[in-house]
Amino acid sequence: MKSNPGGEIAPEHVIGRDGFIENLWQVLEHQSVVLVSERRMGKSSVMKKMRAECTGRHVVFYSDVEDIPTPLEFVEHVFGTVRSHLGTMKRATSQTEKILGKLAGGEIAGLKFPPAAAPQWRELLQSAIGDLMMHCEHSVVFFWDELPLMLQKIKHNTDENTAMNLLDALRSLRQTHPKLRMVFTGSIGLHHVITSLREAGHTNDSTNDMFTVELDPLRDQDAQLLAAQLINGEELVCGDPMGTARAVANAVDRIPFYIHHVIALIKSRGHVIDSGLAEETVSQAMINAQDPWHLCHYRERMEEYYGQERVPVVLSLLDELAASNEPMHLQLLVSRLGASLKPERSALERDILSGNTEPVRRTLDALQRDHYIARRQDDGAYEFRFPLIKRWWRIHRSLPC
Amino acid sequence: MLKEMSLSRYTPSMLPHETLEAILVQRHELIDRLVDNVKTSALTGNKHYNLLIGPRGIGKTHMVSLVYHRVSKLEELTGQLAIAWLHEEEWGVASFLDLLLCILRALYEEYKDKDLEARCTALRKQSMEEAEAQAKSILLEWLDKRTLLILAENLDEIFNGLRDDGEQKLRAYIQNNPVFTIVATSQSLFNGVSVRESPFYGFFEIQYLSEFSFDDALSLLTNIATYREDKDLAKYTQTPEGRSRLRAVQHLAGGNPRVYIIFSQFLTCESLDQLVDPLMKTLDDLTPYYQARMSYLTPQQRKVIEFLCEKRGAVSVSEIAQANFIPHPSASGQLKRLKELGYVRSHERGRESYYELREPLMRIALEVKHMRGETIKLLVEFLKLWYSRNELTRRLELLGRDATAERKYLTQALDALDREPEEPCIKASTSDYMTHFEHKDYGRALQVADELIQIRGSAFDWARRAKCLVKLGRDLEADTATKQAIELRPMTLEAVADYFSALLLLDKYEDILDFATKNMEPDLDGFMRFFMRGVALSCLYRHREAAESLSRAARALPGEYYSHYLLFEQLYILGRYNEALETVDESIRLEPDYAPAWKGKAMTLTRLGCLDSALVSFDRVIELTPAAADFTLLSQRADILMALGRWDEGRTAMEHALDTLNGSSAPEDTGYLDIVPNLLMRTQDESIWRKHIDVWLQLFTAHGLVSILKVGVLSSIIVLADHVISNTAAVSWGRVWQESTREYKEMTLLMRLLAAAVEYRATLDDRVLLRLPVEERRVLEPLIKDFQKNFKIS
Repeated sequence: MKSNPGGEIAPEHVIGRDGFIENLWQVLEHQSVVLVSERRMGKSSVMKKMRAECTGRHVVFYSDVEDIPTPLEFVEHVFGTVRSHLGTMKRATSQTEKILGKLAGGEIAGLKFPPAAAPQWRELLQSAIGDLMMHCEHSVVFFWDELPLMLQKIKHNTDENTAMNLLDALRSLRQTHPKLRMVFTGSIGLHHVITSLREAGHTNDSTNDMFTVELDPLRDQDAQLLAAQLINGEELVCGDPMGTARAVANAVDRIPFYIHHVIALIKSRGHVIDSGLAEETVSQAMINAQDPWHLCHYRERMEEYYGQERVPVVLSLLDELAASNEPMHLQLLVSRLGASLKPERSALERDILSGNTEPVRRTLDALQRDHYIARRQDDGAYEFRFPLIKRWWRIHRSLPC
Repeated sequence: MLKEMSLSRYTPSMLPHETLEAILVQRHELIDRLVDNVKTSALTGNKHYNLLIGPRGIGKTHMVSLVYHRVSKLEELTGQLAIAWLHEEEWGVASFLDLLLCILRALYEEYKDKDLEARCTALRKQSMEEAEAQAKSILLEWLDKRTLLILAENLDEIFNGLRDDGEQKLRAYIQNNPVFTIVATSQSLFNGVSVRESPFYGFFEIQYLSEFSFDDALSLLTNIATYREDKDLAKYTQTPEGRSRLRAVQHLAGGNPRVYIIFSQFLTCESLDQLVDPLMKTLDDLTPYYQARMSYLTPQQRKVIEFLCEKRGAVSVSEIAQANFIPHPSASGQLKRLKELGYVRSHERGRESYYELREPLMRIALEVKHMRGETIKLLVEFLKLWYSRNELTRRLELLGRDATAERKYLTQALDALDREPEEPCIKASTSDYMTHFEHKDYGRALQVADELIQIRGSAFDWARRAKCLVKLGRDLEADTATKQAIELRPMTLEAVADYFSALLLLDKYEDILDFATKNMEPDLDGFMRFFMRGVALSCLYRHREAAESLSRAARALPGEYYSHYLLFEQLYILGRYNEALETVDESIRLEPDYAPAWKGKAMTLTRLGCLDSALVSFDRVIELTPAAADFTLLSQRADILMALGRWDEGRTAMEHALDTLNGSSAPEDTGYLDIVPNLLMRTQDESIWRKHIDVWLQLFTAHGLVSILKVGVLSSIIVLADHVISNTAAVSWGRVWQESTREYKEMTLLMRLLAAAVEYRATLDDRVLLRLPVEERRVLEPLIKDFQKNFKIS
């Protein structure tokens, strides 16, 4: 197996996710899922593996929906999926085509819905799913990748109402069809999109019937196995293959994308690898001005995720956690913030400096949801989720070691 | 005939496969990997997406063309892979639909599929939305589960046309239909792949194509020679003259493979006649290429490039900004971008960045149009880059009486060269020599030295050859080269400096003295004579005489800062600190930005106990040359801060100094640890000693670098020879160290040596030394060699 950072990984080459997939199937027996994780964990690869290897008990559809700009086009997309699955024989009986026929004044031949169909998108969606469920004996799972991006796009092209209505419609479908399941996932968190919709005045939580599942980095042995297979596949000369594989895996917190990246980088520079070189490669990636691992986005996305007012608080919290060798409790973090916050800068900072810890706790929750930090199990102290990111943060912010 | 024509200058995509393979250099592994990735993508569920980045002329099209040819010939991919090789410039992509149509067009052209062509034509009768939906289906149907290799150049331009919307559609299409593999190229990173929010962020495996080194260029020309069956060229590239000419091309071309290919036809030209016409034609041909490259730039960037063309050398960012009425930050940003695009290169000098054109040939080619009718000016410009001064002189001498035109060119080229600070081809060779020597690649350095001998043949060039041969263990040849250098007595005053450098390089100090003292031809002026003597004497550790000579040199040429600086060094070594300070101040007055002088001043002031001023001087050194902030300098600065009572700052500064060593205690990294002897020189207050020593022990131990501190303590033993240190002070010094290091077992041996040194200073009794084991005595003896002389009891 060769290194392939960013590329499409064949389902049979996705390593270390069998246990996770088995659990996910079990969850899907009962409810739909919002699949979350930090970037580069392999969410898309997991979904595609599930599609490729699903047993006869499920009918699985996978789509990347980031390019869909309106609810009508979403419905077209779903309709296209349904139609190709149902085949010509059953298509003739489809309710959806009947509705479309009425709207268009005749039979629909192509894939595009007539403009007149736009206001009826909800009805068409219900009908398309209805057609599918009527002809499926098994449960049906839709994997919709980059759904949050699609919602953002719809919100931008129409309004928040429309985006929210689509989410509501999907929820309604899940409630109507007991054997229908949906998996939402994407490179931005769904919670961000829902938060922005809430800020526009929508109080529904259209995903509260869905179970949130987090995709973690690989387990130690799986990460080492991946690294070892790539070292072998790239024919790198290695005196201690398992030791080196372990070093590679640990240096990048067992995140598959970075494992591929390290091996690819080492391969491009020669044919020899050892633990020291792996560690050196990671260090170089941290300080490389071209940011090959796209780590700068951990800083760049903050204004978008948390709003301008909250960014100084976020930066200060992460700085404290990065500079500390031990996890830190809320009270300690709050006490340290005093040195870096400025009352003249914003109402939020004044509030925190006056002793109100609630905004800090909420910010920490948000950081946790976005995978910057985690809480230690035994005492709930906060720390960086990934040592790799903590290390990058320290370098990037010129914090003392 | 075919082979003559086939090295097409601007369209590698037109070259036959065998030609592309024949002239492939440097990138064999990369091309193998790309082809392997395509194979994997075609035969398995893994799909690779590669992006090659490099400036124009670097060889991107060559790579793409090779991928196409190699992959097309792989039998195992028959029926598994289809290839869509898009045009090098796809100007017509303004939407995702346009891109789909380009791909479909590439397919029906490649596979001569009339049916596919007809279906694509029919799409134009649909609405855009319907056409897009159908095009997507047509492509997938046509592929029929095969993998599609998309070869796309100038991907940045394609993405400009797609915009966000088109990019999202493309990405979704690829994600939803994993049947694509991509090999694409771009001049530089662009927003579509480098901005976090872009759909293709993190999508591609990116490889940067690097410019050709000299060795790569040599391989390329050898390959061209072999391919063309041009024995003359093949032979020529192996000669020093040929390699030297190639360096001239490298200087002109800045590592651009395309230009090497073009100039391969000129390398063996013997007469000027053979050179001029084809050269002028080539420059004419190159002009549209360089003009096209200019057209890709923004107006402001073009302005900057034109300015650099006029300046002909490296220019600071400030000057560029000012001369072009551009704010400094904008100029800096534009220059960074131009560097990424491969138009300029930068050099750091102190805190300033300097920029120059990466390809001087660009300047010449662009000036073709400005020099209407002034062909000679252009030719002269080229000739001075192409030939060395010696070659031009030789050619001039060989010209017949009736060769008036050539005489004019060569004479003007020689005049132009006289106005240059350094001959370009010599400069290029010297730079390569230094690089190879610094990297300990003595074989290659020797080759370059031979080239320099070929084109110039000065004493210094022979000295360099000798130096390389010594390093390579070829002593007999080294001796011959050394003799050659020494015997090449300079005939002109200008050559004296070269001769002097040669003898210095060979450590022939006595020969320098001999030459400077006795030589009357040419008549050395006072300055040179005393300067050379002073330097040679200092190398022979005859510091008093060296100081005297350098003092006379400084009087002979009072405006020369360097002789003042060298004099300062001698005075410092002799311990004449007040005089040293006066001298180094004069050197600084004459050359205010000379960092070594400021460092010398800082060290002298430290010795004299003027700590505030010493600190200012240290800071000035760091400001002038941040790279000079090595451990020696930083540790002294840190210690001064502590001595000034600024303990926290001092500790932090010392930590920082120790951090620069990265755990290394090798002498070449650590330099001298002057802080220990300086402390002894500066004060005899025990409480101050204790405070400093405690901090040093803590910090050096924490960094695992106690061994360096030990060396510092040993250095302080030398200082004990100074009369300024009383016996009481010497005894206290030993005692304070003993007491401070009681808990540090690794210091036990050192303390034994220090105690012995202190006792010996007081008694001068050899039995003190004899009590030490012989190996410890050997360490101590050189350090105490002046004790007898200085403290002998009469």
